[in-house]
Amino acid sequence: MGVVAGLASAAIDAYEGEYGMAALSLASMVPGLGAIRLAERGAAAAGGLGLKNLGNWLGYRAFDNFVDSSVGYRAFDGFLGNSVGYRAIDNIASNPALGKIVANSAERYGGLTQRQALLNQVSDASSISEAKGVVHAFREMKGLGYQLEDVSLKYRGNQGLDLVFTKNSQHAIVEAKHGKYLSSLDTYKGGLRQGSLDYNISRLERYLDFGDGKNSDFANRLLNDAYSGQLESFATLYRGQSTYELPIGWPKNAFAIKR
Amino acid sequence: MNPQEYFTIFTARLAGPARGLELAKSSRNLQLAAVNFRQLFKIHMMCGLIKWRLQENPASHFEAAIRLTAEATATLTEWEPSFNILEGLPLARTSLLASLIDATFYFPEVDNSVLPIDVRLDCLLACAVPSANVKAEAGALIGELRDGKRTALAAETYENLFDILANRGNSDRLGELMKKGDALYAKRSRDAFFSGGDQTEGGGPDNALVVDYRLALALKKVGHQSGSVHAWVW
Repeated sequence: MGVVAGLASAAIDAYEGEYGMAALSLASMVPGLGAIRLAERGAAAAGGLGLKNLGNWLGYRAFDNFVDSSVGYRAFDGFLGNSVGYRAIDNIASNPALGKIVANSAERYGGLTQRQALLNQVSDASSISEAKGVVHAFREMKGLGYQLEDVSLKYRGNQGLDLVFTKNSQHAIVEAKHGKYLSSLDTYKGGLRQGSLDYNISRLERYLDFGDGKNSDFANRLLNDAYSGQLESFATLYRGQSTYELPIGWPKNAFAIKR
Repeated sequence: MNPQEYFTIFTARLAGPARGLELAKSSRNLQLAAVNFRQLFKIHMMCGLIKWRLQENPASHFEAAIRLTAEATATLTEWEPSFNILEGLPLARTSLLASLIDATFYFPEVDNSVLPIDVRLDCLLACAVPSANVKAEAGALIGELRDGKRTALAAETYENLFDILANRGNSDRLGELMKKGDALYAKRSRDAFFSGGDQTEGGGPDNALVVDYRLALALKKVGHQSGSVHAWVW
């Protein structure tokens, strides 16, 4: 193990132990093995809680800035990458002391319910990379005039569709990726590809078969939209800073459209 | 829910893509028609696999699935002769089902190198004749699959299938390979590649609902009888 990797590894181990803050400082000085990774390990060490403990004023501001502007990307990265940021998002909505700040900034989300919907999705993210992908997707789709649906269509833990948006009664499924290219969209047995209409249908069916049943009516509505060609599909790429519309027939018989 | 209840759900699920197909036909929407043909194929196949798991004859459902692919091929190429049926329709799985129930299905003689590796292996399996060197034909593709992302279990599964085809007449060895096939199938419940595929592939929670129809086909081709849930006994 090299010196750099050794330092980072020691820092991560210490963070998961009793030396949290000091270890974080150490790790943040290690080039190339930064605090994001450390925070992810921290999230895992917290017993799979993900971002559940996020919730303070600094984190809240970084979160808002991220949603609001391109400058926010760096702020959000930094926020997630430090020890304070790691205890950030989830409590934001439930903390009464933050109510005034929330109300003042809700417009940038398209209202309080949209902000809450985004917080719910971020809180359910299983990693910080995934959370960044979710917030990026929200901002991109908001820019296209869509609103986030506050629903979860997951089954078996975190499996299933990422996000559902709506614009003028038209629903859109979004694969919110942290990666840079469309190749981030996985291919499964038989060539079933994330983002394709067949994939979205299969995930809706699995939600109906194995999900919690809370959103079955909505899932059935989306399925009917899919069969009649009315269900849209998008992929948003955080590192690629891009958004693609994936038309019916993609990837085998149609090209992705950059938006 | 038990498999019988799932069968009822899947049967009811045919109505959605059937409506979608009618809509696509009325507007000559090629891509929408292809999606709904694929969905109908998948549901018919799924109904057959659940029936199989319930130890009932699935042949009529597989026949319906095969007829759908044939109808899709005819319809879509009539609308648009250049339509990419190789990638747009489930030709490989249709061939596997046809081989299983001794039905006729014409697979176009075209270069299939654009298909995913596991699908190309399905094409090979469907038309493979058992022999000592049959595995050599599939070896390179299995090697590629083994090097892929999260496809190690799939590679091991196909390797076992072609091992079966290479061991016709060796009943002891075939018994071992069948048991290995059973064990590999069970692993799909925790395998991301299979779990992410169609429900017909037995990944994730679908593992207890369906069977390994590829294993059944390989065993049928070498004439090996067994009491496995994956055996084709009709």
